[in-house]
Amino acid sequence: MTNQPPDPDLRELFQELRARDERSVPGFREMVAGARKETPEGKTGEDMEWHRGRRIRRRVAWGGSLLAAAAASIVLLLPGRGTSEAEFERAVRSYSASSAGGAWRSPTDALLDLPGSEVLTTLPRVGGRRWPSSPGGNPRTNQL
Amino acid sequence: MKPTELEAQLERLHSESFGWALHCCDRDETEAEDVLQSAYLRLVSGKARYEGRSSFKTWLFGVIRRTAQEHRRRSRAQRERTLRLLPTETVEAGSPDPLSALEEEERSQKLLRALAALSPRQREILHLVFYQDLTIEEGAEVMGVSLGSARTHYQRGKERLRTLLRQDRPDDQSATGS
Repeated sequence: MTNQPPDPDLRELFQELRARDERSVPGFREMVAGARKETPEGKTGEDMEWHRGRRIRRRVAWGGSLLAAAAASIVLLLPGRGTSEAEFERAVRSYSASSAGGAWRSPTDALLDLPGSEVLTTLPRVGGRRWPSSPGGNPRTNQL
Repeated sequence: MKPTELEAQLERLHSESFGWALHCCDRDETEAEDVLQSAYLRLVSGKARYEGRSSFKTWLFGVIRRTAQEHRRRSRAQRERTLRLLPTETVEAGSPDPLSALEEEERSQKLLRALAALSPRQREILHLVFYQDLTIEEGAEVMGVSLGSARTHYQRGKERLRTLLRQDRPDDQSATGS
């Protein structure tokens, strides 16, 4: 090999270092066995499968619990919320429809009631006869 | 690759892998053990898969290198929790006599001192070529650099290492006046 010149002097020095290092090489079997035992992520084959299965089971259990909690909260909260909303709407409607029901009115509200303003909000009565209420109807034509 | 085949390959390269892990961890033995253990876990658990695009050794060294880099980024507290393993593969038979062992130790210390003065890339490629017997191409693959870049680091590193080793000799120091 042309890329690997001999350099025997350097090679010898490195090989001496290597021989020295080999005296402190840890046992292979002990190393692999110890690693498998000590490190949780160091499981092999069936162990890995078992861990993966356990992870999936745990996730499914968590997901199921969350779904159950969400469903329970929907069942418990939604009907109650509907009832209270309906009651609130009814109360507001009755409150705004009648001041006799205890609704509060501003003391200056009367200032907004101008003379003749009732003409704008009510139908006129002539001779005890009510004008036709249809929007397309012409009161003058009807009178004639 | 079957699990048994994988373990057999790992066991065959275990000593070299530890040497490489040791290099990646600045020769910190405890950290090297942790890194190698984590790298093995990745392989055995299937988090890192060998797809045959390079030699198994090159690929394994790449995994160890990446693991060491990640390990360094993580907290130091994790190191203390890791199992400390006693060395079981001791070289009893054929070990050198005390005097030559001392000389070898001295030479190794000198080499380590000289290596410490090189750039990390130069250190890395020299280790892969001279310690691990990889080619420069394989070294480039492990380091994740181009072949040209690896060659440059290799040549410059080698020259610098020779210079440093010469300077570290007491007799040469007086001769050069440094």
